[in-house]
Amino acid sequence: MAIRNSGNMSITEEFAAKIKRDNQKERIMKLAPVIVLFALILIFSIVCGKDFASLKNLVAVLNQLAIPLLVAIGLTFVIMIGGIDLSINGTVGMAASLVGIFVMNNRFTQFNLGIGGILIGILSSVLVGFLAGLIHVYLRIPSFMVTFAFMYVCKGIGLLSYSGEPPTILDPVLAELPKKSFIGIPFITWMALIVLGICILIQEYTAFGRYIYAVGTDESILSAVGVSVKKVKVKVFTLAGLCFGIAGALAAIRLGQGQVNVGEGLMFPAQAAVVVGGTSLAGGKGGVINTIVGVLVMRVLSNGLVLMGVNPYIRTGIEGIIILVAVALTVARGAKVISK
Amino acid sequence: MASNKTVDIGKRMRLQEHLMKYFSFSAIVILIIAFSASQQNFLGKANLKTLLSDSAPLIIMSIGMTFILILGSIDLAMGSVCSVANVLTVMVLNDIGPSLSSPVLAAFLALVVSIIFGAFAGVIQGIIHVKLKVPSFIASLGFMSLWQSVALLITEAPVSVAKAMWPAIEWVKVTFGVIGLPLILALIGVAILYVIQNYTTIGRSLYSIGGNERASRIAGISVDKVKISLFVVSGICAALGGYFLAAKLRSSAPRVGDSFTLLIVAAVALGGTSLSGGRGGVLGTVLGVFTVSVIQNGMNFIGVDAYWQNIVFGLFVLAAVAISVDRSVRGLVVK
Repeated sequence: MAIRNSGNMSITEEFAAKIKRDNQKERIMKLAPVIVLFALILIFSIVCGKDFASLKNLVAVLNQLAIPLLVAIGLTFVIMIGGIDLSINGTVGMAASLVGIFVMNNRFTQFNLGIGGILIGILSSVLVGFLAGLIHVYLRIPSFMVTFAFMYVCKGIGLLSYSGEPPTILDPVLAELPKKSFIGIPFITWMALIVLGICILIQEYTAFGRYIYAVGTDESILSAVGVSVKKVKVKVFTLAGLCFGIAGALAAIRLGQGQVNVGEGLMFPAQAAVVVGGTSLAGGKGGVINTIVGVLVMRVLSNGLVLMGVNPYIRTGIEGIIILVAVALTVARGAKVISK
Repeated sequence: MASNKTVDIGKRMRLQEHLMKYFSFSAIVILIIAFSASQQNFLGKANLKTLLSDSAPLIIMSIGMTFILILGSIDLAMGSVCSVANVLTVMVLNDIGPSLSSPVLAAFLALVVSIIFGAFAGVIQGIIHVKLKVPSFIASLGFMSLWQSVALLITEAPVSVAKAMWPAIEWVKVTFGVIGLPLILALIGVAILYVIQNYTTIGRSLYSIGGNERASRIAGISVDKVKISLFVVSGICAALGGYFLAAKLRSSAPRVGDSFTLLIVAAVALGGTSLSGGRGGVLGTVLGVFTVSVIQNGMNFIGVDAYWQNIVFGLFVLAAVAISVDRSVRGLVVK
């Protein structure tokens, strides 16, 4: 094409046209996750009819959205700096267990700290994130291994904390909380949305948010201009820990029980949601807003498949295929692209 | 003069590399001494036998993963490929086995079926990763869900191997002293992959691609082909792991591979293979697997409380990585 055109087109024009084409392509790629989301909604609305496209189901989806969303937001920041966090199942479980123990409950009556109990649960997860970040950065151990180890440590702490029988939350306010809603949206989802809003603000309007992108793109540039890459990384892991901790606390409140198992099976879907949303595993691309779309894709998919009455075993398989398709649609291709 | 200096630097680098290998070895030695100090029988015949035979499936799977990690990729589907091979093996033994002339033939048929499945899983995953440019992390994540589903669809609940077919899986129990046949077979697998890694074009291309893919492409290595064939190797290794586990457990277990998914990666990383590609090898992986096995076995042996086991395992892994991680390259970006 380019060679054929070169007769009646100057080099500058040709270059401008190429840039324009590339930009257009990129814009379409960026929209791909949204297109996938709407395609799924359309398909399920046709197949399931009223069951899917109803206000009741929308509330049901929103209700299930809170915890996967929080977890995925935390993970997004870690993936944006090119790292990975495998500790999710552990940290969420640990936070949930500790919240269960330190509020009014049926097993450990001596520790009733009320709201302080919730803070202890969240802080434990923040601390783990901070430690993981420190070890990753200063001992130069890949984040994959550090967080893998912390997954076990946190699961262990959670199990050990209530040794066997998970405590049931008896605090009257907390027990009522899951049933409360504001303009139709459950209270727990509101909490997740507030965290989401704060994270969007951090990402878009703070220097730290911009550094995250810079670290993911090229660390050496950032250290050359005098920003401590190490500090940014530790902060990112701490922020992720905060998100996981809040997710754990909300999970415990929703279940009415503090147990480690609430963290089970959160990690891989969260990774998938982040990537499906368009955040690159190599770092530097994407963001929290992309992740919302990714999480919605995953939630709508599993909700729709449940409504269709698909066998749960097949459901995981279909989810796997959709992940592949969604990502295959969004990744950049071409001879020069290297995918690892 | 100048050339002398280069040789010196080369020598020093090689020395450093050797030191790294001894580091991961030292982690094992320290662990063994610690465990033996608290329980004298830790290195007794009975426990050594369990420890060595238990590590066979993990060795088989980890050496396959080693190649993938050297490429700089990752394969999260190995655990569930292992599950599918596991249920396929038991299905072949129980459903087709009785109509064959001997259980040994059935065992062989099951082995062939597993290997074909593993190769197939590797090929499609490799093609999707390489040709569609889907990152291996996410491609294998998708296939992980897919194969999990397939395993559960084949066999919903664990099925034991029929009594008539027990001769087909007796080989698991053959031992020579403290070393069982599964471990010997696993080590033969290690030897084969070691030869592939060091003495074949694919093996050398593997390091070159892991080190710098663009340069390898320009140098004329058919990167795509090498990558796909290595995914086939990892698929076959995962399937063999499932075959071993079926024989060991005497039953199918559709979720048996789930716990291996991340453990394999950890074992390979403990063995000194870099997660960012280009460095490491199968011999290191064997050490890494033994580190994991010694930790797990040791905790059971000295009777660490079940609630504490997770914590202790996590801390041990962290300590072992901290000792064995490669810090020789200055300015290397650790992700």
